[in-house]
Order: sequence, then C-alpha cells, then structure tokens
Amino acid sequence: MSTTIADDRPVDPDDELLVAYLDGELDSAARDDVEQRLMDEESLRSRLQTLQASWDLLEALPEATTNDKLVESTLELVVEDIVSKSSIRAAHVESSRWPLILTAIAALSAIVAFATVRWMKAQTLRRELNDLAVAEHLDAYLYGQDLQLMRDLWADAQWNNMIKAAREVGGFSQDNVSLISDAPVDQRAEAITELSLEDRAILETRWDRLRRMDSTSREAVRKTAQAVAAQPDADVLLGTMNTYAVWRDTIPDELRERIEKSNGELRKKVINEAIGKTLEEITRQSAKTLKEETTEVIYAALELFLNNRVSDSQELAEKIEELGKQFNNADAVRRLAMRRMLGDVFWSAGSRVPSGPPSPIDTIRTITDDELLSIYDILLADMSKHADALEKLETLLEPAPFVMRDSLKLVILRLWSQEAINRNSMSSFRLDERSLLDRYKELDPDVRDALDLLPPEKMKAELYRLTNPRRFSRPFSRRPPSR
Amino acid sequence: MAVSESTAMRYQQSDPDVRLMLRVREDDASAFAELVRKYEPRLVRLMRTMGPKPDIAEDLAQETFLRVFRARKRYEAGAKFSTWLFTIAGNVARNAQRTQIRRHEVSEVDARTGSGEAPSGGQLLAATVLEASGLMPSRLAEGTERAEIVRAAVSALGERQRMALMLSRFENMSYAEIAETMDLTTKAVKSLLSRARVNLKEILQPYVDAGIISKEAD
Repeated sequence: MSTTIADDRPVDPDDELLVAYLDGELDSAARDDVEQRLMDEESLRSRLQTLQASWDLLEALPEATTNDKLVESTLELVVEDIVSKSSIRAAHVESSRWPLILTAIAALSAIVAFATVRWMKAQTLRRELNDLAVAEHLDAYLYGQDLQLMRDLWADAQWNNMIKAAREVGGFSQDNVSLISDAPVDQRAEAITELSLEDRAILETRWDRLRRMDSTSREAVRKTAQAVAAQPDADVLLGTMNTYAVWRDTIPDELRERIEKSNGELRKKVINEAIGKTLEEITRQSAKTLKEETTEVIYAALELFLNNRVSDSQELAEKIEELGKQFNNADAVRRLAMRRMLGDVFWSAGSRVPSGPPSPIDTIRTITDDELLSIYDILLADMSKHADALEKLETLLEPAPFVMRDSLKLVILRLWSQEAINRNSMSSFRLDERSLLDRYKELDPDVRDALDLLPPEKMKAELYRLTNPRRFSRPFSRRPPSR
Repeated sequence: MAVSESTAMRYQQSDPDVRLMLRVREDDASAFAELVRKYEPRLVRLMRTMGPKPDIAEDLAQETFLRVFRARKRYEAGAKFSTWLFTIAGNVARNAQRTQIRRHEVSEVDARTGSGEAPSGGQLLAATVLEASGLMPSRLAEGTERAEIVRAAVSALGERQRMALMLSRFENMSYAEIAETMDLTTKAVKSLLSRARVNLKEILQPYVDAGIISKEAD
C-alpha cells in the first residue's frame, strides 16, 4: 500500500486547487481559471476525475439510519448519569452512616431513574401525539392560515353550494371526518389502532410530511394549530380550512394567488370567478358520470332533431347520404352533423376546405333552446330511470345565482348531448373478434385466390382491410372536395 | 468563551437546533430527545470511522450525548449546534483512541515492543491490498465487503484528515465550518482535505484498477 500523506507534508498545489474546486470553495475568478485549465489540459482533467471517483466511492459507507432503541437507551443513560451523580454526592456526604442508608439511596436512585425515564418517554410521546393531530390537518394549517378568509368563505352561500355540488357531482373527495384529532391526547394511541388501514396510511403520509419539514416551518404549523384551537368557532374554522385546502388545489394558480393576496370586495370578486371555474369543471365531469340509459335517450332525441332538419332540407339529406356512401359509414356522418348542430366547431374546423361554398352539414341549423329543454322534459318524463341525471342537474344549478339558472341548464344539457354523441361514437368501434381464418373463409373464392398470391404480411393487411366493416375508403379526417 | 448577545441571537434565529439546545439548557427533556433522534445516526456514522473500532461506534455516540447533556448548563449559542456537537464528538473519538492505545500497550507489553501507533485501518488495508496484488480473485466486491474496503481506506487516513473528510462529505460542512469544529484555520482545512482526497484516491485506486470495486457506487 502506498504511504499516506501525513498532515504536515506539502501537498501538490494542483491537487489542492482541484479539491477546493470540487468542494465549491473557490471564488468565481479562481473557478473560471480552473475550468479554463481543465478544458486545455487533459492530464488535469484526468486527475480531477480520479479524485472525484474515489470521493464517490464513499457512498459505499453505511447510511446513517435511525435506531429507536439506541435513542431510547441514550436517554436512559443520560438519566442514569444524573441519578448516579446525585447518589454519589449523597454517599460521599453520608459515608459515615450505615450501609443500609446507602442501599436505600441506591434503591431510591433506581426508582427516580425509572420514573424519570418514564417521564421523558411520556413527554416525547405526548408531544408526538399532539403533532399527529396537527399532521392530520396539515394542509388546512398550511393553506388556511388566513382566518378572516376562512370565515368569509364559511358565510358565503354560493361557495358552500359550489362545494356541495363538487362533492356530489365532481368527485371532490374531501370530507371532514376526524381521524384522531378529536380524541383526547391520552386516547389517541388507542384511536390509531382502531383506524382502518387506509386511514392509517393517510395519517402516516401526513405525519411523514410534517416530520420532514424543517423545524421552523413545523413550529409555524404548530402555532397556527394552536391559534385555530383558541378560536371560539374552532371546529367550523378547521372544517372550512380543510375544504379550502382541497379546493384551492383545483383552481388555477393565478386565481389562487389573487384570492390569498387580496381582500374585501376585490377578494369576493375573485372568489366568484374561481367558483365559476369550478362549476364549469364539475359540469364537464357530470357528463362523464351519466348512466348509459340516459345518454341513449339523449342520443335518440338528437337523432330526432337531425331527422327534422334532414326532412326540411333536400340538400342536407343528399349530402349526408353522399358522404355516408363515400366513407362507407353513414352513422359517423350523422354524428358529424349532430355535432355541427350542437355548434361543436372543433369537429369540422380542422377539415374545412379553405375555399368554395360551405357544405350543408356545416350550415346545419343549430339546436334551439326549446329543443335542449325538451331533452330535459324527456328525462323528466321517465323520472325513475333518469333520477341520477336529474339530481345531478339540480345540484349543479343550486350554486348558480337564480337569474343564471336557465342559461346554466342549457349549457349542461348541451354538454350532456355532446357526451351522448361521444358515447355512441365509441360504441360503434367495438372490437371485431372474428379470427383471421374466419374472415378468410367469408370472402368470395375469387378474392381468396387473389389473396393467396400475396406475401404473408401483405396478405394479412389486405385481409384486415377487406373484412373490416368500419373501413373507410380514405382517411376520415380528409374531406372530399366540394362539388 | 463568552458569546456576544448579537452572535447568540443570530444563531438562535438561524439554527433551529440551537433553539432546541437552549431548551435542553432549561431541562426540557423532549428537546433533548429530539436532538438525540436527529443527530445520533450521524454520530454513529462518524464514530465508525473516527473511533478505534467500528463496533463501539454506538457507545461513542452515546458518550457524546452524555457530554452534551452534562454540559447543557454551560451551553451558549456561539456557533451552529452541529459545529459544537461535532467538536465534542471529535474529542470523544480522540480520547477513545488514546484509551485503546494504552490498553493495547499494556496487553502487548510482553509480546513485543509496540510501534506506539494505533492499530489502524491502514494496517488492515495494507494486508488486503497485498492480497489484491496477486491473490485477490478478480470479482467485484459486493455491498458490505465494498463498504468494509472503503471504511478501511478512510480509517487509514490520519485522524485529522479523516475528521475533515467526514465532516465535508457527510455533514456538508464548508471549510469555514470544519475549521471552527476542528479549531483550525480555513487554510489548514483546505490542505487537510486535499491530502485526504489524494490519499483516498491512492489507497482505493488499486482496487478500482483490479476491478474489485467499481468507480460508481451501486
């Protein structure tokens, strides 16, 4: 083995420079110099790499891992030390007394040591159980510190209705059931054992987050928790804080920032704006959770509206028929017409030919408010079958100001109609489960002869093409030129 | 050494562990428990390389905390808590080395005249490296084996180099903080760390060259 360099022997100046460079201890000028030299000198580069490589090997040393037993025994050791010192002092003073007294002191010391260790452990446990209650509502304490904002929200009927709608329709999962924080501190350990595995996992994640915070932030969270607990309306506040913490995550960053940094009338305005955004989102989500039987009824109504338009316009009827033949898929063309009827420009804008007269499908008469409202009446007529959809609709309308409810109802029915078209479209693309052999057997003998002459891969592709009932003669997105 | 009020205030504000230690000074047991929980694993890691034998690392970490607790009433916020703690840890490790040497001398007195040096990781490593030159199988050392080679390499360094290296590598201390912990100048720390790194490179290079340990940690 090479002899190691002793502390007092000179070290190569370049090594010293490179080590200081790796440790980030050079000023910017010296660092620039080193980097320039590293670019110019191959030998210096290689020296740097070997220094760094051996440094990296230190990662092989075992990591520092917490050992609860060691921590515990250290605390016990410290207590024993305190006690033994006091008993030595006592023994020294009383050395002339009977050995019985010494024995009594030793016994007393042991009792004191035991009691002190118990006390220290109990103190630590109590503090941790207090922290656990804080951890349970960690997000509430982190994001709901502005108690005035929380009280304003609690008193805001529109916000509360929106939250109710979000819970019932939009999958807003937050609830205010306490896991352990309502239990007195000395009963919390037991309360933990009674939690479900899922609740325990939730609590553990929050606990981990609290423990991983730096101690300044952790102390700040504890202080917020104490401040909330001292309020006369603590329960209501905490409930609102929890709800707000979840809601703020669902609104755009910019709105969130404006809510938290403004106040008074301005803040109320921003909150209303954010409520609007949430309602928009949950309305969209409400469509996704509609039952199949409801979307089928809505689709049937849309077909009826389309048929009315087709009977009124010969040109439209011909166009739909022509495209249906051309694409070999009449249903897809009818769905396209329905989307246009709903004013869904997305579905035709991409394929619009820049010049020439617009197609009769593009200029189809858009759906009227009465038609949309008639969908509502159809659902209402079979209330038991569509109770879920009707309840959703009412829940979504509740947070809206009264004067806006009719227009919101139309928006919701329009979104649901779009969903009905989407679902019909999806169901038309069901998997064809016929095997390749079955498909082959179904072909005319002449076609089979032609296929037999193709190379295997090409034959397979051609077989799929010929036997796919949904095949299009050309890509669907590309519209044939207008006549 | 008396600490000025402004210095104490500065450390109290910037270092949460200083605040905990001030609570320990007032006999707050839970604050002490928190410090033990936070630093004990790191002290054990340090003691594995700084102490005379890795298997007494936990005892030395406990000894360090015992001293911290005994010194609590004299504690003043004159530095970061970790700086103060690792200074004490360095002293504990040094004393343990001395005690070990004395025991070694006493027990070996009839056998042969001792070199006066502590049985070092270097001696252990030297034997292994000799083995590496001809007899070491050309296989890659695994987990604990590789850790043992690296630990022995670190133990082969001089005591101060080792301490500086551990504080720099694992405690992320700056040169200034290491200097304060070890009661040295920043310049001396710079030289110590250079020597430590060069030595480490030279000790471990034969293993890397022989393919016994890879350059990249797993």
